[in-house]
Amino acid sequence: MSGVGGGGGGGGDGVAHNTHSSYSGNTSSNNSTGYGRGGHVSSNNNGAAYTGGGGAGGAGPGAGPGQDVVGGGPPAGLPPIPQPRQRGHARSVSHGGGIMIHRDPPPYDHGGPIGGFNMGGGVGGLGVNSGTNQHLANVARGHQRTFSHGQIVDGGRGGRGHRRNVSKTDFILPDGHEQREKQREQEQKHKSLTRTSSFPKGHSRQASRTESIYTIRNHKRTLLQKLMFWKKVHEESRTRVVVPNHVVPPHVSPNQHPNGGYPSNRICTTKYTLLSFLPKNLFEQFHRFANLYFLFIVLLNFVPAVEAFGKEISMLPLIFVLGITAIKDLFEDRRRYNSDKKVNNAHCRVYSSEQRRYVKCLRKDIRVGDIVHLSVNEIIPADMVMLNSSDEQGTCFIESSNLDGESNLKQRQCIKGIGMDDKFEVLKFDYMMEIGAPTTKMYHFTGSIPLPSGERVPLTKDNLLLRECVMKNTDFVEGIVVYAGCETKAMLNNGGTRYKRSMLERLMNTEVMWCVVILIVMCLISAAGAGIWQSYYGRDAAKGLVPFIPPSDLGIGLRSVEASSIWVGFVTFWTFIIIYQVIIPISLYVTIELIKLAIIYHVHKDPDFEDKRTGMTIECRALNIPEELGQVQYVFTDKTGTLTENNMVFQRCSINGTDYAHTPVITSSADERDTFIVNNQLKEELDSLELPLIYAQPGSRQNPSNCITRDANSQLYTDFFFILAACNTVIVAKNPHHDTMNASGVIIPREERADLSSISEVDNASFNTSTTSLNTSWGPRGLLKGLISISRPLSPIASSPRSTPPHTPEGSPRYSTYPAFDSPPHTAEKSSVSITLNPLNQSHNSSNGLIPMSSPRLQITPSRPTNLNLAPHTYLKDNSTPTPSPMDMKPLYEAESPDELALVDTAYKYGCKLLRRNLHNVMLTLPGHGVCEYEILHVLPFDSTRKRMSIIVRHPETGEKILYCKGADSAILDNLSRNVDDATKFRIFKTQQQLNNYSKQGLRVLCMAKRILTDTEYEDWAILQKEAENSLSAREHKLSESYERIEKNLKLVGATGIEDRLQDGVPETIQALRSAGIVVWVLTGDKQETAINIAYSASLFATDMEIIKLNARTKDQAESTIQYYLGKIEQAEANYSRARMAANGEAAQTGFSNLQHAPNSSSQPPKERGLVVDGRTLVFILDRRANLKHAFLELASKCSAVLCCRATPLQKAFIVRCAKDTLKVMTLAVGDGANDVSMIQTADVGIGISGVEGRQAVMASDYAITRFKHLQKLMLVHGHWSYDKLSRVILYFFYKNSMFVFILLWYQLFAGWSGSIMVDPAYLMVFNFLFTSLPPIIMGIHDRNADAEILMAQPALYAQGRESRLYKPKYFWMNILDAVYQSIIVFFFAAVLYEDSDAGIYEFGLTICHACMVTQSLHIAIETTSWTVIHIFSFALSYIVFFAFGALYTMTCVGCFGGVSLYGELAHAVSTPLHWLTILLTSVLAVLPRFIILALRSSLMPSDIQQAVLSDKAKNPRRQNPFMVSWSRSTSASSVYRGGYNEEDGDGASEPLSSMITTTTILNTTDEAHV
Amino acid sequence: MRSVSEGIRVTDSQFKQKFKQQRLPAWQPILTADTVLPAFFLIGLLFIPLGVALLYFSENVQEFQLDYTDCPQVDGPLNASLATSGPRKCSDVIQDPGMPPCKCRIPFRLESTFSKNVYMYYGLDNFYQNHRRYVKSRDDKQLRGNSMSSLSTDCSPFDKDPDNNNRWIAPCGAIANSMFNDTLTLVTSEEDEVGLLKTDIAWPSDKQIKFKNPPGSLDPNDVENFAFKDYTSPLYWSKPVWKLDTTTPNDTNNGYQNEDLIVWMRTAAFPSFRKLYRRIDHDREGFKYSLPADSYSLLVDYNYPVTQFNGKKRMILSTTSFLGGKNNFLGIAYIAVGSICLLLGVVFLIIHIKFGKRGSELNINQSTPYSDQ
Repeated sequence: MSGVGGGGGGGGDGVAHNTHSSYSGNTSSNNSTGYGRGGHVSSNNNGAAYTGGGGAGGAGPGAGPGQDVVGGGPPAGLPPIPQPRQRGHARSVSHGGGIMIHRDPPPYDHGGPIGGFNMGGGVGGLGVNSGTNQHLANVARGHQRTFSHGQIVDGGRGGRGHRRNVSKTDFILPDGHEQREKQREQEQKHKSLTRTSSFPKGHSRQASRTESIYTIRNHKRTLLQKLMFWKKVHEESRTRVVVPNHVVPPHVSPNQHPNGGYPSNRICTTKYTLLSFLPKNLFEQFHRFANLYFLFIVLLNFVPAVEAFGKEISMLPLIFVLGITAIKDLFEDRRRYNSDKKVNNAHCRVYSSEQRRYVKCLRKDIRVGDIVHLSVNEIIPADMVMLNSSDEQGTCFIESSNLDGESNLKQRQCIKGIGMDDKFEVLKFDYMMEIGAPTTKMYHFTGSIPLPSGERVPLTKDNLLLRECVMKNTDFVEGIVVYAGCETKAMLNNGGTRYKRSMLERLMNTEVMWCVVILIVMCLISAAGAGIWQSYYGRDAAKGLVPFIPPSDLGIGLRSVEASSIWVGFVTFWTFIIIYQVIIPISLYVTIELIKLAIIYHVHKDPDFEDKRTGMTIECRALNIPEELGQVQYVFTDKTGTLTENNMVFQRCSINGTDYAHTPVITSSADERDTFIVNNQLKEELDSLELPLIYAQPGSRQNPSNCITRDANSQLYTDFFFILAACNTVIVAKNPHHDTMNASGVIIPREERADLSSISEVDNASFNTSTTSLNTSWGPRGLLKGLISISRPLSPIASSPRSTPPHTPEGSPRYSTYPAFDSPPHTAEKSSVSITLNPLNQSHNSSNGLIPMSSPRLQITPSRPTNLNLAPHTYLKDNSTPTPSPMDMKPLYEAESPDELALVDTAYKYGCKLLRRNLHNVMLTLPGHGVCEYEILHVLPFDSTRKRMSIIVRHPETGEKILYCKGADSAILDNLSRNVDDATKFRIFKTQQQLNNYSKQGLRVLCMAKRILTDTEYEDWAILQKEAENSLSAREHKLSESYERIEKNLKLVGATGIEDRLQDGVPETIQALRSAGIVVWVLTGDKQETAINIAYSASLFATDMEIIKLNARTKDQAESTIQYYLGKIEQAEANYSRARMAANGEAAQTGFSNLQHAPNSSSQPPKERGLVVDGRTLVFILDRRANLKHAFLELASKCSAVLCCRATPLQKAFIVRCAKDTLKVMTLAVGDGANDVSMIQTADVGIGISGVEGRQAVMASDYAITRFKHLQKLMLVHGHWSYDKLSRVILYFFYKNSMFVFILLWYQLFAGWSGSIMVDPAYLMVFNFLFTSLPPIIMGIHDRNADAEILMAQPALYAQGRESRLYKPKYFWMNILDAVYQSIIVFFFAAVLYEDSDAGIYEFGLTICHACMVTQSLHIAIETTSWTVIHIFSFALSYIVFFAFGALYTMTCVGCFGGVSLYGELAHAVSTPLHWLTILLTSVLAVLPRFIILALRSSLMPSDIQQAVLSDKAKNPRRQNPFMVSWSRSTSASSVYRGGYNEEDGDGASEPLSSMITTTTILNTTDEAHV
Repeated sequence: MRSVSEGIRVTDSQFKQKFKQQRLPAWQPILTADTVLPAFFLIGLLFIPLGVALLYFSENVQEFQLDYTDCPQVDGPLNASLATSGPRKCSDVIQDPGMPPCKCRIPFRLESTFSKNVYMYYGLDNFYQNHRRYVKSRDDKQLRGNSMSSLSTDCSPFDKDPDNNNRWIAPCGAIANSMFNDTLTLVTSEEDEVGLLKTDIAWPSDKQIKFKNPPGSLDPNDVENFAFKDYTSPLYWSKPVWKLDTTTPNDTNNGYQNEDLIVWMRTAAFPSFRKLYRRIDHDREGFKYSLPADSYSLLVDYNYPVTQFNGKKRMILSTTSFLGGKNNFLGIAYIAVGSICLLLGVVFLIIHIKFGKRGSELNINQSTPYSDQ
């Protein structure tokens, strides 16, 4: 088509046309007259200029490049389809100015662009026109408004079609432009790191996160650095050269390729390859002590003199253990391999110099030097230097949470100064790049591009896109790969999985050491016995007179008997080590790992952990610490997002001393955010502002009531909402970002996607006709469109998708698959759908009720179509709120904190709509003002010390420079202007009262203030500010000083209270945890009052608790406060213990003692204490020099709940570490956000809440749950069970192995200490693996000492694990003792029965084996607390295996393993009654003591768990019976009633009871749900 | 039918669900006094009668033991110098090399008639047949009749005879070398020899599988075919393995399959053991149904030295019960354990009566107002 020519002329022509159409827009817009207010008439010029830009934009991408690059295919290939390419993305919205209508294709109604466009686009337009009136009306309004505010760029520039200016500095005032230029110069001089200082850095939470993570990371890396020390030295000195691959001729051999020496992008996190698996795995396994020990035994067995039994047999256990572990490793590695494969084979688009376009390519095939095209939300495949962005500013954002856990967006910039700032063409980028060697330093990158002119363009970290990050907020970027595969920073920093060793395992290891000691003692005794025995026969044996001592035997022939016996003793010592080896329970390690795997499996299958709303369930990332969950003593929890929903709902606001409350609307769906009902009073206030809107100037608004106050008031209202809407870092996007290039590198026209683009197409298509048929002003909108397209001149190829439809020369084969005629009918169809849904009246299209799709998280979810589909429906719903809106749809807001989002949404609901913002402008509708565009002069970003952020704007009408400030109440109220009248003072007082009120309700409060700056004030400050910005040293400090200077003398506007609702079940859970004796610490960044109130509502603090507050402002003060309280508590305790002694005396008399003594003796006093510490005090406490840590922890340990307010993430981690190290307690940390990562990693058990705040907490955690309340079951039930089961299994294993070994020892008494064993070696070796391992494994997996319901209802039962009652050294020794006893019984009874009989050694051995097996089975049967089918099955199977193995070994195996054939021994043995009688007698007698002791203990002093189970049994005699269950349900229902009654009573003593019952109710209701 | 199978499937999937969620129906025993009571009484009531029965059976077993370690030599040349001191002990005699076999005659009297199936055992005390290296010193392959080029090193030093051209020893090893080689015969007071059967004293499984003669003839005269032509007899043996029993027809009790050898090769579990030596031939007249109470004499060809290691040799005559030999201990132990259990049952009954109620009260108290710290 002729678009090229038309576009070329478009620059000039466009001006005239646009001007015209904008006029028509003004005159014809019916329902938006307000927007055309007088002030804006003057901006028509600007509008014209703007249009000029638009024209150029329309031309730019399409025509411009078409001319520049001769034969550049893409523009020629564009089908004549409207290309809503530039409708773009948040970034372009915020930076690029008036793009909120950008989903429209370029202006149809302008001369220039139309020239190219109409012909093709008209087809669609014609068909749709009549039906799309509503849309058109919308569009029209948008256009008009844009127009009226589009005032910046002067016409000349636009007219000239100066692409560079347009692309970078459209909408930027000349002075702003200069500023940028200067900045660029700075960049080039390496002075500044290209950080645009005026760009808001972000919200406090985020900011502090960054800090903390970084610190922790740093800390971690120091270790790594130590390891890499030698390497680092080299790294610094080396640089490498990267050349774009397209400049290298194809088919250059890798050796000669300049980039040939760098690794490919294939990543390989697997440990093994097919070949290396065996050696490497074995090598790794032999790092384990246990396996080394086994190897040692095996090798020992190869010494002929020592050899105890067949070499093959002695290898069995080693092979078994190694085999199992190898299989496990193989599986893990295979999983890694699969994930690698998935990553490696993921698709991405790489520029192919042969095909001259981007082609689909596997990630692993990316080479250094490749140019890669990235779409929005794409994961960056390799470390790249950014060359081009769809964003006008040449920026893009990356989210690095995959990498470092920071979820905030980081800005990255294109390389500047290589002559491609205005237009990037892949082929023209032929520079060589010198870059530093790969390092692990995530935030360090250096490099440069030497230009032909001799200059060097520096490359910094701001140009580097890091692998694993996600590209955000930009349609697409292009970059050149500089580090690939294993050299990327992501891979270099990949530390691999952490291995946590649980406390139980550590204890177990000490016991294993004790086993070694026992082993050595036994071997020494046996060796001594051997020596003595040998010396007894010494001389005769030497003469060959002792037939059972072969004459050539050990030590025979030595000179003296003594020498020979010592030699015999020495050699047999090693033999005995082989024989007694089983006492070291090697199989224990494998078994425990298996058990834990199975436990995790069952935890994972627990339906109670499923979140019904999201369908997500628990994620167990650490496999080896389930029992730690049952031993937690301290829980550290984050508040926001963990205890609360992290779903900020605007609740209250106070404007000018008037309080407005809002009723929240709680949604049940996970996709929707909670919202609130608009306060009618406030609404009316605002509506009253609207009345005189049309002609009135803000200052002279007519009001029926008192004019003056009303005016001042109304200004405050406007200001308030302005602050809500604009004083933030919210990014506005109209639509989600979309890159038109599809996965194969082919650019897909918009229409092909069945989502919102089609709607926008409707608008476009209808434009053609609507310009004439409808008398509305489409012009501005079209202008904007044009601007957008002009704004990014692109390389021919990359830009082709965006180069707008007007210029779609035919002939490119690439687009032949998309016939031109295909799309218009398609769009027509779509549009008709949306039309039927839309009410005719456009004014009803306010999106008050529109579901805000603005959460950054939500935006990530690829729910673009949903968003679109929702929109039409909401139109229908929203007829009730007739707020005129120029928008047909609510824009997408992306904020870094949910608070900001809540505020912006609130403002939006009240008609104060943030429409777009960029660095220098913010456009919004204000009640009573209509659409305004403010120029942003400065943004003073948030930081945690100032606790506020400000924005300085120039009022569009008055030109006043106003500072708007939003921040914490303390930060604002302290800086209010002092000289005010009484009325204001009163209002401030009132506001303060309301603020206190808010925080008492647990709301997060923010204050809003403003200050009108005089020109001189501003100028003075601006100079200083600029100095501060440019200063090289202590810049941060100077900047904050500068901020402090201007944020003074503020005028209070209002305050807000935002509610962060507690999650379901949080109070119950915390109550349960506390009842379980767990000390709960809440660590929050919130302010003290808010935190305390949340603490009360979350049951952290009870009303009857004594709250100790530590709010010290100096170190000494902190110390004295702590000491004071410590003293006080000690005194109270002394008093109490005296009283208790007396009480105990009485109790002893009556014979009753409180069995359930409280876990911490310190928490015994009559009144519980809660401790509140604020962040500043924490600083003193955690300061190493202050030495307050111990005193503080002592104080804290006397409190049952601790609340730390205003804590930074690092402080959180420090507190956890202190508690862990100093108090030596088991800690659990739970959090949801990146700010909790360090805490989660520090704690023994880290729990992540997989909520809204992203994955980084989950990634760092051991367990990820969906809701805080799941913690209760996880700890109280699964943790409890795990600890209970595992500790009993471990003890059993020690018993089991040592018992068998003791029997072997006793046999030496009868075998001349020769090391003879009555059991066949094969039996000895497999005994532990085959015959007696299954029941304990099953017990470890399936045993439950009490039902989940009981454990949930009675959290106090948790004490068993918390106090580690089950696994103590004394129990180990008791089990060893039991093993000794049992072995004596089994062996000596059998010995007496078999001695002096004709039984052979193996017949006796089999009897012993069998007896051992039965005894050990009986033993574990006694230990088993709950019998299920599986238990019975495991016993049966073990028994079957015993006989199966026996049959196999003694029936079929004649002379296997080179040992003595056992042929027929088993059959013979079991055919004798003596065999069975021996077993019956010995096994019963062996387990009798344990049985008696257990029975005595449980009947005389049962443990609390047993009591609970017993009483539960008494209550529900037949739990399994459904009838009985329903009965029990009814009884618990009645008790619930009682509980509720008690709660109402507010009786402190009865509270635990009621809460317990509440829990029961919850359980029962879930039960019912199941039924 | 369908409904049934569906029902099964439903329960199956329910089982899977319950398994995954660990909600399988479980029996949760708590060993309180009342639950363990029945167990104790049950064990007591089971064990005491069992013990009594065992004791009864054990008492029915008749057994006669005769220690002949120090038996005096008969019919031997008297040592002139020691003539006055009476006959020499065989144990001393055999220590002198080159002496003819020492013979003993020990008269004894059976006080009671031993009912049918009387067995004769020899018993050795303090003979560590279970010594580690002794137990291993054998070559099962050789004993299974595999002809082989070499023997297991376990047999060393009894694998080759250095005095006989380093010939392989058959059977090799210390066990075989030290085979019990006394010959015991019983004569009645009328000097009638009591019939002793030397077959069916080993396990059939041993004789069929574990012990096989090498292929060939056991007749050394059949030079071509002689199975043991490359072998020599163990050092301590007076006659080679192919001459162990030449009386039983067809060589079924000769060579490796000689039952005395087989019995000996089954090493005993304890240093005091007995091994079946002969069966009393009840087919002979006078012994049809029993070994009558009478005076007998044990005639011993005393070859086997035991005094060097303080060993003892015994001859044992015993009938057998289903329990094996005489074993009073078992019955007593059962009665004792049964009694203990009964006693414990009573104790727990008392506990239950006295504390059981209190316990349940306690339980109810404990479960409801759990003390919060």
